[in-house]
Amino acid sequence: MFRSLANSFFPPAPGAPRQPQLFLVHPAQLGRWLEEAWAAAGNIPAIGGGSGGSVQLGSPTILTDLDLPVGLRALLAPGIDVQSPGDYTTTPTAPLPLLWDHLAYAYLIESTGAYEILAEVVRRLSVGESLGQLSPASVQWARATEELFFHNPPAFSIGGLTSHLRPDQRVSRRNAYWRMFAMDLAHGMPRGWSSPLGEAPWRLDVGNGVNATFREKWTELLRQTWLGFENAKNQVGPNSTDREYVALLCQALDDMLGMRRRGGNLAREEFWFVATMSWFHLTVEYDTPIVVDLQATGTSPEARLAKIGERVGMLPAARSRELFELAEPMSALLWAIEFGSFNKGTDAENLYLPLGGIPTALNREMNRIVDLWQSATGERVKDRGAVGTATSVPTSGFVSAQPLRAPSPATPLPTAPLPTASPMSAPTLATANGRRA
Amino acid sequence: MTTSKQSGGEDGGVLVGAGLVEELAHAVRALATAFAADEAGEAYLFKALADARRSQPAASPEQIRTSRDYDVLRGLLGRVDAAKVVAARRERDAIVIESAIPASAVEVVIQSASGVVERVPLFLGGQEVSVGITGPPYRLPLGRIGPHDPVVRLELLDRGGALVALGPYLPALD
Repeated sequence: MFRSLANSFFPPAPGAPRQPQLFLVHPAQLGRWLEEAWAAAGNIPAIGGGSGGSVQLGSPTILTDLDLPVGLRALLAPGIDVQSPGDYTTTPTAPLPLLWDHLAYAYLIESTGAYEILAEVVRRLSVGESLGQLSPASVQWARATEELFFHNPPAFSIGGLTSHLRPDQRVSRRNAYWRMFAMDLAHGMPRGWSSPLGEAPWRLDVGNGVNATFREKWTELLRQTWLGFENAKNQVGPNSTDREYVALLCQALDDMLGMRRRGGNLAREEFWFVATMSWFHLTVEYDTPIVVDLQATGTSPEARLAKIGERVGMLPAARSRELFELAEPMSALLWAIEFGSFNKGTDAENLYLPLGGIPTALNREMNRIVDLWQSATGERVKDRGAVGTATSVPTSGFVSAQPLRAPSPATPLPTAPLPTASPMSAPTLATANGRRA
Repeated sequence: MTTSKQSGGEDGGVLVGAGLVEELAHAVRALATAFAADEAGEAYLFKALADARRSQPAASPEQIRTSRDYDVLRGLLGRVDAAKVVAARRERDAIVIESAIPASAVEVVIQSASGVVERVPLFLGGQEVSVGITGPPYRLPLGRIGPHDPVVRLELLDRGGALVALGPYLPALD
């Protein structure tokens, strides 16, 4: 979300760095802006099978159930002045459509280790002088970061997810990731952390609410769309692409993710966690004042993060480049899946077929997702024959391009307690990151 | 090879032997042949590409809609290289865009919940449609979409029909 707001200061040209003015805005205004951003999701136009004015959050009323009343929102307007970030403006604005990134974005950015590394930066800045002198802009960044993400949230705010019942946001985030994707972060909890509930308290009491087969279906989708890319220009010979099967996979993912969202579940959590990670992503996305002050300038987010990590004795993920680059396209694709954009074969083939011979943004991003996922995880989704779920070896020796069984929607977990496995044995996306060097 | 004559002809050029001339002519002919063949190869390649392009099926309305939906989604998510979002509000017979719009935008396509589509040019004969104002707000008159019909899509397109900006969902007026 904050990256969208950063755009509004001086909308950059593609490839040009965003301006740092966002970090000069008072955190109270930024917090208030999040209330506006939550409500702005109700202004989105019609996408896919939707009618507009709502977003696929599992409940048609969740936005209005949890937003501030209009009058109160107007009374407490953020008043962010894009011309002068440190000031307040009373100029009212008409509705703007905005949508926050998918929870997958938060998972991928946090997997880079950015949160833990920058948290250590803020901690060291607050307790000593080991990181040197800061410029005024960096002082404002540090203050805003601590106030927004490491402080009890303002009472009754949309980001108020910390309470006596869930006091640790790290645990809350892992709980959301586990429920939505059945994936854990690769890095452990910070040094000194412990919970009376055990090693992985985020897995407790989730009931059947875990998308245990998300990763299997997701990688199969990537595999099948890659087949589509390979065969897109075939004029003769066999074409093993099956657009209806791709549509079935998209539908299964749509159903699966929708199951976790029923009744508006995870909507507020997703909003806040995405906002959190977007702040840390923005911090290293270009040479922001704090990056400059830490002598961590670089040409890419992963390079900057690695240099910052060196300053505080921590390592980012080994595949943080892929994770940073995967975050946006994977988020957009999952949202499109949840909007039902690919539930029919004729729509699903747009993932890999160009439009009138010209590749679309969707084609390019889908291709990019396949490449980056393969590189980030080591799963060879481009290899032929790795179809996996066939239950018997065909006597003919011919291996089908699609598995035997069509994908099914969400598969509930058994209700028996989980075995006492280390959280690190759960499917993870990156090698250990955010760990101490 | 015959011995060349002394250099320094009347024009200062170098005189060469007949054998060398024949070799040079042969080389030039070989080059010309190779170049012609290469050109023919390239011409064939270009024709094949053109034929392949023509042989691509034209995009169906569903394909265009799916692709456009994804572009809209990227714009809503704030992607730097996607369409920008604009703030807009509704009046009884018009839509007012309150944000600056991209300079490349030439047309606004407005779609209502009942399926009515209106296309409003932004620049008509070099003049802005909005009444006497340069820059926001832009007031776009509506002729076919009534005030009780929600606006579900508001798209600003450039000359090539590409999406450059998008507006919000606008509920019906009471």
